Amino acid sequence: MTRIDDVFRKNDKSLVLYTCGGDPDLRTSIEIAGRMEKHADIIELGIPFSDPLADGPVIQKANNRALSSKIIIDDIFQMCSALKRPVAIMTYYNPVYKYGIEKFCRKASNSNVDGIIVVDMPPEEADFITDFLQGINLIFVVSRNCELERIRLITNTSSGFVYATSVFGTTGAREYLDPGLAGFSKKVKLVCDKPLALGFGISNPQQVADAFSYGFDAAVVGSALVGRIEQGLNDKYSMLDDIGEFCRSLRSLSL
Amino acid sequence: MNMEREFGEFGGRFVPEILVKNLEELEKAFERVRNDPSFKIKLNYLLNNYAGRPTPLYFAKRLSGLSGSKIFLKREDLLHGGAHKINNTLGQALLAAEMGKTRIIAETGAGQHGVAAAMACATLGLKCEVFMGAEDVVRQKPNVLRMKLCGAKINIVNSGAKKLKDAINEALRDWITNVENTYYMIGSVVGPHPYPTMVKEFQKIIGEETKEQIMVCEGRLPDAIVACVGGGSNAIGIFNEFLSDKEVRLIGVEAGGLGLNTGSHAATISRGSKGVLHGSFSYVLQDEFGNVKDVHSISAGLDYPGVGPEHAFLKDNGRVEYAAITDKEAVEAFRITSKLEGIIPALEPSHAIAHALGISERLGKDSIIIVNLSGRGDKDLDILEGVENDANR
Repeated sequence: MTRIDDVFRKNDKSLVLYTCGGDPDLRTSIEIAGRMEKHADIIELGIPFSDPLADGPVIQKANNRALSSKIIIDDIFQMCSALKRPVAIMTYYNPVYKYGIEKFCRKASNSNVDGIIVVDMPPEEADFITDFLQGINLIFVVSRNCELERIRLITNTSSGFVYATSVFGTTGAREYLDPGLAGFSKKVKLVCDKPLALGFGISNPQQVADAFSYGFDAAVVGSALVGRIEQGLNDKYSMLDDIGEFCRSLRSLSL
Repeated sequence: MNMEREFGEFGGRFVPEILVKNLEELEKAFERVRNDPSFKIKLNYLLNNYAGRPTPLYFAKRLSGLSGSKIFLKREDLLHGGAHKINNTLGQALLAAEMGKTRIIAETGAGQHGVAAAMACATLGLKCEVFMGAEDVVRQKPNVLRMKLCGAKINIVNSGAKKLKDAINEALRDWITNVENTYYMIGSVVGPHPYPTMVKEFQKIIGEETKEQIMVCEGRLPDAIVACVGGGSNAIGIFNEFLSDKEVRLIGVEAGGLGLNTGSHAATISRGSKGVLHGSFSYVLQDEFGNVKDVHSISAGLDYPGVGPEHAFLKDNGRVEYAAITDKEAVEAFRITSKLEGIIPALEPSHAIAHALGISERLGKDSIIIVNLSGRGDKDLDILEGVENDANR
């Protein structure tokens, strides 16, 4: 039982907030995560990577800023240890593989990591990690073009929660959430009783509220928050306040 | 579902979930057409009458005079578009049309795949968009103009190092966004399953022809076959038919850039380590934390930090040898071949020619070496001019 399982046992509307670990530098990133923690149920922390295939321009730039600050995986683990809220690491397969899958899981476990999302690892490849998880949740993604049979495979393999992507596309804020998502959550829940989080494109309080009303158990906000880091690079303290205020506002329509 | 890695531990399908359905559909469609006689008739018609197959196997007498061996050139440079790439794009464009896809996207480095994609799409009436790194747009300008003339839209890629790797990233991101109507026409034996297998299927004709031709010319198999390896499609294309002929040495030549010890090269198999890039498990040039390195080669088509998973497999099982040739050696081979044979090779196969000349002496006088001359060098004249200016400065 991880702290993520706990969150979903206690709440039926959870907020997951994403930032890229080490963006724009380690110290600032720790402060940003500190502000996020006040309002998030779960922190999703990205490992900066040179080739983030599933990410749009905003998060690509965040990855580059962190890499320019020489952020490495161990820095991300250090951040995880310092966080009080449950934390899920978001990564691509290659950094985990290169670091050593067993070592990665061991260090993650020692750093209070509760969940790992490997964006480009299909459930068929999960065996390579599951042996080493030491109780950490391995979270998989379902997308809107998945057939029922595939949804069953993904959700059976996933633990902690299931991450549903709202759009055909990469990460990044969108103006509207498609009302058809209500049907998507219903479809997933036909075969799965695990908590279901909606991510990609959610950028404001209305969309957070919409995600809950469409039947999702959690809403993930990423690019909208990371965009505020980019905008505030020249003035760190107003940026931190801006982020704190933004995170606080996200729940205002769904309490 | 076929998720096994196709090449030992290499291959696989490491992609965001949203692409899985498309890859499964593609795999099914490919399996359907690969044994479909009517598809083969259509493709062969285009290969013969549009692209110009079969290509000759030319005995390069004067180049041979310079070396110790008989050197033959497989003249893929004579194909329409100027490179072997058209073999693959015609196959994939026909497949895309059969699948009812209306929009084709492709990536390109040297521009040869982009040109071949644009041509194949034009002749089949398909809409084509090509992703090309901003740096490559500058250094391979003639190909940019050719693509535009053939009706393709060029999407200039400014992310990352602005080269081939980044063009593939952007093409994949586009595909993630437009999964329903779009077909991703990948240009080499890289990417998630089924691409490496499919591109090989469309390129293996090079080796099939070569084997017949050398048997006619010489009455025996060659001692060695040499091909350049970026992603590795021309090499797989010529090697495949000879994989079980153990007496034939197969040699892949990577881009040694400024030298293997300088860090400025693109010799993925020689200096890389295992990892995932662009959806398959293979060798990758990367740092200790799995970040993909910025690489260098004078030839845009070899300037890629990954390599096809089958090459990784063939390296590990020892069937294929891999070597590296520097920018300087490739330019030298480019000049020699132009001067002695009146054939201007692309900088990519110039790497293979340089290596063939290098090993010819050791192989001995009656040995036979076949070089896959995968493309012609008209696109590289600006780069050569730059090299000359640098030398005169």
